[in-house]
Amino acid sequence: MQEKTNGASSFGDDGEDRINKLPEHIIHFIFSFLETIDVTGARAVSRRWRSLWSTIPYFNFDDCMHPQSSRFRDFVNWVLISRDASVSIQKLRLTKYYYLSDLKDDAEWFYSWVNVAARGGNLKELDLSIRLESLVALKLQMWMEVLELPATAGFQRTLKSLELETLTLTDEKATKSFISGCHRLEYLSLNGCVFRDFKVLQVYNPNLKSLTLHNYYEEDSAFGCSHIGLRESKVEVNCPNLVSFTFQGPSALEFSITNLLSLENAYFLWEAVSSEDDEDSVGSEGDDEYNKNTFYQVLCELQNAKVLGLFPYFVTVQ
Amino acid sequence: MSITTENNEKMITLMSSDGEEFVVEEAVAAQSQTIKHLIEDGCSTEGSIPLPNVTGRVLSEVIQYCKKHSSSDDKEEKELEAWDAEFVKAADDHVALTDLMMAANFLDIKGLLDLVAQTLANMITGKSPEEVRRMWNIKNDFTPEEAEKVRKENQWAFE
Repeated sequence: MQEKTNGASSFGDDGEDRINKLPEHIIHFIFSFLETIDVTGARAVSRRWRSLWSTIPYFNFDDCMHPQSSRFRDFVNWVLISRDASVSIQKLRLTKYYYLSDLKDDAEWFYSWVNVAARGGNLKELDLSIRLESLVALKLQMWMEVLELPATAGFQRTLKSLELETLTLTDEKATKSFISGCHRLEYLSLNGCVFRDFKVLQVYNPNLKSLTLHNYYEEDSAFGCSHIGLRESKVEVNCPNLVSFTFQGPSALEFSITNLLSLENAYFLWEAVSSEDDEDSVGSEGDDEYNKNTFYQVLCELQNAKVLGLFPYFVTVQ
Repeated sequence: MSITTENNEKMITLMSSDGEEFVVEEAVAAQSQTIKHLIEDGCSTEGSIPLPNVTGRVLSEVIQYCKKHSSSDDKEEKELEAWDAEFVKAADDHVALTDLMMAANFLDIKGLLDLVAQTLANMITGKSPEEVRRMWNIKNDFTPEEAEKVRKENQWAFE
């Protein structure tokens, strides 16, 4: 069919099949507001609609439409296999409301679907609304992509281990309330994350036993932008049950460590900033003085620890 | 053509495909990214901005939408939603809606595009293929074999 893309005025006035005269991307856009299962139903309207179904780049899968877990899985698989694979996916929404019968199995399917969607290199919107009421461990590694942590989530009640690696956090308040809201959280690791516009990173948690902060920064990182880690942010830790605390990398702007009543092991592995231009200034007097102050400040607050490892590059015995 | 009103609002003239002229505040017209870019590129100084893809009838509706949405702020969100619902209801046949859809696409007005697409999507939801065909006057061009194949696949999907 000849598509008329040059506007409303090109339509006839008889009202015949005007929807079909809309260009493909507009019909796809309309379809993007539908559940994928409804778009699938609409395949049976006409040949064009069937072909539009196979090239749609937007997917909304909601398991409420398939209360039986295995049917939901089969449906998503069938759609992803039957579609025209040369069209890269732009939006994938997966909503899993029902309890996962076999968490590990389902998690693997989710992983493979997200991979399929990401394969085209054109994914702009990923929405995973998963009811993970029994989730215990969560690890996300996102190559500097932005993660918007929810201030609260259903799985906060069960989560024991949270590892966030190389991702970008942008909301200081939500991050604080997410961490402090995980009441059973015992292990928290933030590794190489970007804390965009964070004045302060606040780790307040009543049950946390182990905290690892691996700070990292690089002037012109491989990701195309300066990765400043915690260089311009203060770190506040208030965890009465914390047993082990590790901080590795260049110092944060400032530390405020309070209420570490149970602390046994503390390791601080300070690193110099690895910047070629900075070779001279790392050891400069001002920086040294600043680092010393931060160092002694941390030292005072960690004095209860049974094992205290401090590996600063600038240590000078006074 | 740039005219300035008493309120110091800059006005511009939009011309539809059938030659109808509409004088609107620049802020209203600039809700269309397309028009905004035309203004920025200086295309509005030599007279009216011609919009060869939009008829006067459709353009007047689009302007109505833009006026409403440029004068409201966030507080009035509820009221705006109600207004939107009335707006698409008034255009409640698919001929008018597809025209609006094309205009919103050409003029690049995201809010209007979303609104009309959602309305058209709602019209599809819960309808059988036969009902969709009847509603929008679409011809069933499947061969009996093709129809049977699609029917079988969908039967499986909806099991």
